[in-house]
Amino acid sequence: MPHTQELSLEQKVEERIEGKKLDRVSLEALSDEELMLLFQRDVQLGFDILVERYQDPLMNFIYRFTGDMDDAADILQDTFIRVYKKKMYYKTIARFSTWVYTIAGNLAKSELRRGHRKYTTKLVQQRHEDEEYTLPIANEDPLPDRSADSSIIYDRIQRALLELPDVFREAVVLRDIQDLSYEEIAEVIGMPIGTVKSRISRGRLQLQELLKDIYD
Amino acid sequence: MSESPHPRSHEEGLPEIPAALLRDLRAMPRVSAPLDFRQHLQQHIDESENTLSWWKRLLSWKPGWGFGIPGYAYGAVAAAFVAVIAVYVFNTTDFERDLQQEQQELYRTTDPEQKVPDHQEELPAEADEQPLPLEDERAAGRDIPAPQETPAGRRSETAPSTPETRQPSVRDAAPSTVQPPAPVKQSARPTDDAIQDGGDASKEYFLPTLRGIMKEEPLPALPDSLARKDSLRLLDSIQLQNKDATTPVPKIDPR
Repeated sequence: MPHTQELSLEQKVEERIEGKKLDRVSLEALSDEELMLLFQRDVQLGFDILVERYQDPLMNFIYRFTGDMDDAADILQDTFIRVYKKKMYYKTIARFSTWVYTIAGNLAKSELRRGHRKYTTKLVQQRHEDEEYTLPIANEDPLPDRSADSSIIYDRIQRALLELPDVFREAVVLRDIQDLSYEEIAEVIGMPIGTVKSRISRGRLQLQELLKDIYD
Repeated sequence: MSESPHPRSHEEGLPEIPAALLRDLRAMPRVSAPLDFRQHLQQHIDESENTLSWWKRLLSWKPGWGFGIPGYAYGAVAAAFVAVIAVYVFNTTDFERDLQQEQQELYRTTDPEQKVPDHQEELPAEADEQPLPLEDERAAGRDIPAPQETPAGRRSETAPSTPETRQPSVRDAAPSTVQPPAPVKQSARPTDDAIQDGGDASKEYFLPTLRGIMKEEPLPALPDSLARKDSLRLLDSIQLQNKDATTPVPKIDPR
């Protein structure tokens, strides 16, 4: 029961605060939800440990979603600032991981909508700058060798991901790159599991279509 | 029956995508946060906390600070504030209006002798105009009281005369038969009908231009003749003359 779990978490956190067991070593053994409850009671160390835990996974997710390293770093910072300021909105009935992924995804989508033109320009510019190894996505371009460097393939995959619609890209990145479960993805995007599976499968099909010169 | 798979079932099942694509997706290099990300984040948080405006700080949802209003309630708080302001403004207006109505109601229900002519300033401009004495009155050498000598309340007392008391005066308003009528008491006071007339009494009281015609009665068209105007002015002069005569004089009991 979430309610009893919340009560037990609350009790554990209260006991820990009363017992002054707030050193870093003991806090690192706690779950995300317990750390968030501690942070809600103004234990700053709980927030610091959460940042350490999630900064790299979130950075990877945001970068794969937006395709821009600088913007990903900014969105990551905004995500944790929002966690910091909206800490009282968090309820322990939800998982902290899905909550923070939801915040990051919403910020990334907002940034993409706001700067869609900017990203398009950047992508074109990047193609010109990286002409020595750029592999075009379009089918009329020459086929790459299957034994090409893996970094080139990853670059092709990243560009193909950016060609996907946002909803499909988010689902594919969360499932196939971040390795979240269907239930967690359903919580993150706020959709039923059936919709999640549908989006993942359609995103994969579109990805395969975009990369068929490599994977056929 | 068709042998082709149903599109819905095809969507729900996992697609037949190459395992190499899935493998490469999962093997994509992980991107890490910048090295100084934590310090930069903490610095940014501290700056934003220090530059927080006082009203945001007041409304922020913190355990030990502010009113504890969540962000989604800002709109409700603003709407409530606007509602309070609006109710205050409109209620003030209604209150003033009600106060005036109460005063009028109180004025109607009180004894006419106890009425205080506090609405003198609300009289129309015509009410203050005193008719000039006629030529024949000057020739007769009658003393017509000067309008400025009349107390403000006196003129108001003579105004609410009923049509029954006025119409004979109009009939007898020929310039040749000008005689000061006897000091009849009912001519100086409004009748009971006029008192019980509700809101019309006060209007009639302050609208002497109606000249005794009740509100419900159609206003007869006055002939636009100089004689008619003179007769009306003469009527005003007679009323001014009767003013002093209608003042109740206390009788001294000889006993």
